[in-house]
Amino acid sequence: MPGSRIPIRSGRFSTKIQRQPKPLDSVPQEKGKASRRENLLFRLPDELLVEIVKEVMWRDALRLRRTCSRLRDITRSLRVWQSFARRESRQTLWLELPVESYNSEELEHLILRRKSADTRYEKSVESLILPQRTLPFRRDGQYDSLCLVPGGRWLLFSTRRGSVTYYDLNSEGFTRQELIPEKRTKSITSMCVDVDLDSPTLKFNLVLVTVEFSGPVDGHQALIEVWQVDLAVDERGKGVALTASDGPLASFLQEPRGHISSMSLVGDFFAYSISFRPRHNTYAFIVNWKAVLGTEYVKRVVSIPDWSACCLLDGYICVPTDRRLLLLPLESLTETIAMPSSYAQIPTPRPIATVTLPKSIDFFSFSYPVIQKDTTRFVIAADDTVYGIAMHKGQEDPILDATLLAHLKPDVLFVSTRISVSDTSCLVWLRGGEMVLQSFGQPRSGILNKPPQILPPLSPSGSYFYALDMASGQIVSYRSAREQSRLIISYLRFR
Amino acid sequence: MAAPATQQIKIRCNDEKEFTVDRDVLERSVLIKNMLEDVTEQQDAPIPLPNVSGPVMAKVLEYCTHHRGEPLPSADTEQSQDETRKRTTDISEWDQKFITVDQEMLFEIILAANYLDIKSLLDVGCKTVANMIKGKTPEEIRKLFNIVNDFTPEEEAQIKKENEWAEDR
Repeated sequence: MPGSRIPIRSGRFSTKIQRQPKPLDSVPQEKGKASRRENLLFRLPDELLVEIVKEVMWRDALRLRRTCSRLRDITRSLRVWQSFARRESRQTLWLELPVESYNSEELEHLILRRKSADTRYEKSVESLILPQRTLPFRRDGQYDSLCLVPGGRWLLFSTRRGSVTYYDLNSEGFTRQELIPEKRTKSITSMCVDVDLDSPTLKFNLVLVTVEFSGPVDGHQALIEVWQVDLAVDERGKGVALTASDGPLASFLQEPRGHISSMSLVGDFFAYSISFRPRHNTYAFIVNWKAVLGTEYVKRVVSIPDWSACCLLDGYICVPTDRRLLLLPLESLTETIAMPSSYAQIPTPRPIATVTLPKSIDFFSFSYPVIQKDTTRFVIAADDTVYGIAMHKGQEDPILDATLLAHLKPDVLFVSTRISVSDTSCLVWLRGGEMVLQSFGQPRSGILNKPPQILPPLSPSGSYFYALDMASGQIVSYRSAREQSRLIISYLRFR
Repeated sequence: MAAPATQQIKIRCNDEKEFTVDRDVLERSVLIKNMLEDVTEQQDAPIPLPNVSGPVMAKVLEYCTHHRGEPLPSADTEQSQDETRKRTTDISEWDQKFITVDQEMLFEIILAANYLDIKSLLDVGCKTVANMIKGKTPEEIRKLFNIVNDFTPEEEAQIKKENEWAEDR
């Protein structure tokens, strides 16, 4: 019996489809009125409808949701949102757990809040008010800086006692947790974060730079510590807290002495710039923090314009010189243990790539680099101008590319700019109180289709401390007042 | 059992239509490949495929013949499948021409590819339907597939309110 000799297995998707073989005359020649009225799509089982919805864009999925109840339910399925999440690069959503750890509602929320923040840009922001949430905030000691870990859930504060505390912005109860214990000194503590992109669960290094208040700034010698911070996960696999390593992974005194004006941490390298009096010669120092022992450690050094910053990338450093940005491989920089006594100009090695900007950029703030395949993007703010910089790495030497993102009124000085960058857009807060949202436009085009969006003024105006996160579309401002301190979280979203 | 490359296999569709096809062409279908591996002795009786009609099978065989010899995708996890798909979102020119058929045939091909377990063909079919959906309004999608709006006016207003923010127009 031919029909029974071979077991009939189900297909790729194992739903049993009870379909009667159709009479020959209905397939497929008959395309009359009957088939025009028939919903042929719904001949497919749910599993195949899911496979189709996985291929559309998130916006199409929301439109499908509005067509009928069956498709509404399909667009809520876990596999659809898992597929959308996997399509995004790691630094778009900044998920703190592997995609499989989330249910469909959670993934939908995380993806749509991010898309919503971008949509904010696509539409006119005029006359819009950003939704806000105000949190009571117990003033307890002096806070020096705040920082949102990418993803927007964890808000870190460094205090004048050298400790770091954090808040979980997802939690209902807003309580302060200690991350790194305080030191005995009274000091200014600043920090920056470097997320480990290879770790499936949130893990980052946190550098703390603690300077005691005493003596002239030239004599400052900061204690530099690098701590590892991990997401603590409960038995249900949900992230519940942050935990720091028992002690710092590295701890060393800044060398040479002086005021650190900018810093960045990427992988094994920590870079900081110091300006020396009387001539304000400025140098960028790069240290492999994993290899530091004692105070006489090896650092790479390069001269940069007065009070400039330096942006550390993976294996490179990007430094300004007049109207050009130079990309220097770290290994090409001069190695030194002690600074030359004359503070002489150190010859700049031949850059591997350069880009010329419309005007000189002797002062800038910069964002954390965002890596997408072979392209690393970051944003710099110089005087009244914001540039998007892309480093394209391919088979050949890397190429630098600059795009003018925003040009603002001339008197705004970017003294303490905050910048958050995603793969598609950036958010820049200016000391003058303006907040600018800008999309990168097409890579390498150098031309933007749209002017930057100046966001409506945030309340409270005059806040000094800001933290931004593009992944969650959150802007956190901290207002310190004698009577009442408040944390205000503004959401760059529609939902 | 190592089969000679020229081995011919007979299949029979649900409309009694029979095809005689080279074994390596048929083995694009994981379902048939597994069936053939289970059979040890040479049999002359055709393999019955009760879920596929002759005209659809003819299209499927056209696809399998064109892609014969290409490596079969391994049975991957969902995650790596999604990642593979992310890398290859485009449909090749030949596939695109091949899949330019009416809706009836398109959905029949998708069902047959699913039943026969031909992953690459299923992907081409699903992507084609996805491309038909992309950029259309809910009303245009309903019209395209003759979808009946079964929401109550209240439900529809609610769901519109929830999702309207995403509209870029």
